[in-house]
Amino acid sequence: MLSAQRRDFDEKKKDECPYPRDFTRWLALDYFRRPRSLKARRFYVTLATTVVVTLLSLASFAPGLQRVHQACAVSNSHAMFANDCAKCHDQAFQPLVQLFCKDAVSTSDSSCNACHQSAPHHGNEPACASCHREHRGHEVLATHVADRNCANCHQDLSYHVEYGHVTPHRKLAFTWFHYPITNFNRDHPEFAASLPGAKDPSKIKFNHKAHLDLDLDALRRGRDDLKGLGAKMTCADCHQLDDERKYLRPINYENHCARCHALNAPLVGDFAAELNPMAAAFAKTPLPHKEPVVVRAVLRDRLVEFAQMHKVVASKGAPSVPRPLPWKPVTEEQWSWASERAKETEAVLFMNKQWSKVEPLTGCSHCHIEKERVGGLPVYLRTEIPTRWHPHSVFNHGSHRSMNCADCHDRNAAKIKVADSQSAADVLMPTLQSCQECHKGPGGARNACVECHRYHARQSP
Amino acid sequence: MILYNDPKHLLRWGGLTLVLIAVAVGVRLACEPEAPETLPGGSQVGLLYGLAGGGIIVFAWLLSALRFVPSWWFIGSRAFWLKGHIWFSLLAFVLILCHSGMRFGGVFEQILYFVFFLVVLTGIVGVVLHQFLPRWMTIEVPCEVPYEQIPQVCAVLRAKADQDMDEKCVCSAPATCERIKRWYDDVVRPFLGWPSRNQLLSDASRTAQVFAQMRALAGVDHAASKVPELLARLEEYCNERRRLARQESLHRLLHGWLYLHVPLSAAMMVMMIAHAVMTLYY
Repeated sequence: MLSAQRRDFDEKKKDECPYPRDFTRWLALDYFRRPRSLKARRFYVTLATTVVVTLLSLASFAPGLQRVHQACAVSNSHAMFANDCAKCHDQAFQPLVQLFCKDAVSTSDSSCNACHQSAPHHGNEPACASCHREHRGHEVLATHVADRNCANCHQDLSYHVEYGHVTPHRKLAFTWFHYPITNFNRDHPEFAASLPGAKDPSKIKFNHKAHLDLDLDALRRGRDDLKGLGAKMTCADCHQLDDERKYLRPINYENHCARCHALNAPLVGDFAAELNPMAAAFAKTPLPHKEPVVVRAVLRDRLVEFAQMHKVVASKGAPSVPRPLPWKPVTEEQWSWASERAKETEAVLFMNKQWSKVEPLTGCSHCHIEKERVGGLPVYLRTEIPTRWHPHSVFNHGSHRSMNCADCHDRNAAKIKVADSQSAADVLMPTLQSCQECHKGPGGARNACVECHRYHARQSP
Repeated sequence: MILYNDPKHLLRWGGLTLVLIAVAVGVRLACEPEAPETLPGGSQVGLLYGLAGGGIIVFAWLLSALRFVPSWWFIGSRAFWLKGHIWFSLLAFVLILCHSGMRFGGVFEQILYFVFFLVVLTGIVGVVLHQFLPRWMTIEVPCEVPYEQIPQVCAVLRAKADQDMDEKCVCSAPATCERIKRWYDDVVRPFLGWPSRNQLLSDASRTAQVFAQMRALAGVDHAASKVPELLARLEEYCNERRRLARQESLHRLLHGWLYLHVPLSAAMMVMMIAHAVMTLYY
């Protein structure tokens, strides 16, 4: 109370007036009816702010400005739709439905399939948008799929598939890859190729150790066919990256073996001194790397031509052995000479023996495995050297170029270093553990399922 | 609402809020997948957090609507709503952070977050001001009157000063009275009015100095003169007016943060609705 007010009250008390009649002079009793400046101003500021923000918010719903509502940028390939949400989001209020139904997505598959034609996956088909999560700022959307999307089924496949159930792709059976898989570093099964007892399916004789131990400098003397190679052979001399630098080119005789293991056929017999250079040239010309029947035919043909060209035998009569055009007709003597020489050469060429390092001759059985003999000619097993060891996954050798081949391949299920392997049956593929040591997620290389597996792979998952 | 002198209140509401914050953060972390990316706001967990946070924001906003409804018992007391407004709004901020997974989204969401942050910040400033300003006001302004009555009280003060001038400004030397009247019209009267116009008397020591000079005028101390009493009363009025001015400034400080808090809250509510409509639709 103000002192002046109190004095007024005191003076009134002196007059024995219990209630000061001039109280209303000090206080405006109808003040609540008058506008209150602070509150009025605050009301107008609030009203103006609300109106402005409402208008701006409504403006942000316009198709050209919808980008401002995106929690994160869309991937680069969808940037053209960034300002038009309805282009992809064709299902209204699905985020709300998602509260009750986990699989609800606002982008239907038909909206994705309008542009993308993807191969189906085996098993139940989830919606595209349930795995490919947009608005995460990824440059490439396709390769960013969270493990939980895969683990959703693969952590308990028996729940999702029935034994013997036939899908469009295969008849389902519980196999090793139907075990629960939730994380690469936790419960991923060992690679099939590295399972105990696994053997290399190739039907060929090959000795990595013999090749990697070769002293090429010593071999190179007097030969010009080993140019480009170092003092020792390396893995990359045979295992070369393909054009995409992802996989290795298939091992191929012409590209990887022929330079050292040429199929030279020696011409056996005594020749006049002037024919010796021709005989040497004949021996240096390799035979084709084809089936034995073809090799025999080519060999006989070349021998006949040699006999005709150099007149190594005297011909008594007219040519009687029929030969199709454009070859010249051959006489009986020439034919029997060529057959005789061919028999001797074939005996060496098709001998079922793997030549040792000190023996200069190279026969088919040096590498190939003879199955049987038909008509005096061997039938060899198909080599079947695997071109892809892990058909259910992808791999990129180029991404691992900072490492040596042996860093991974020495850590194989056979527990043999590549440089010590003497049998083609040894599986020299890295084990799961060797991958896991680097690919361990946070703090290491990425370990997501999609690093190796492709959901939409056309042949296999 | 004074918080520091009520340990039970702090323990109940503050403790409850802290426990709820810990539970909310713990559940959110437990739901977090092993993938490097956190769950987005549109996921099931994110949506639940968003709904919880949005619900609390609506509850906090309804405090302003409370005055428009009768005080039915089932609504709860205004103190209850104010406590909930203060403490649960802090919880709402944490829930919204959990909703977004500590990401701040696109342009619209970033602005919304900034506005939300400002709302919480101004709210905290308001709570802090309310802890000491009312007590400070009581100390500094013992003659506190209702804020809305200050113009009326100032008008009465000036009327009484005018009346006193008419009755008591009688001097032996007419020139002195003339000077006092002129001084009153130029300095005292404008100062007593509302709003105050002359700031010469807004300082206490300066006022005392000015009135001492006026008392030293020749003829003021004449035996029959009522001028000393008049000057004493005018000085008293001026001191009262200065205290009222101080009350006014403290009152503005005490409630001025609402100039930011309320409009920002309204803006946040509009943006929140726009955000909810847009994100739930698509």
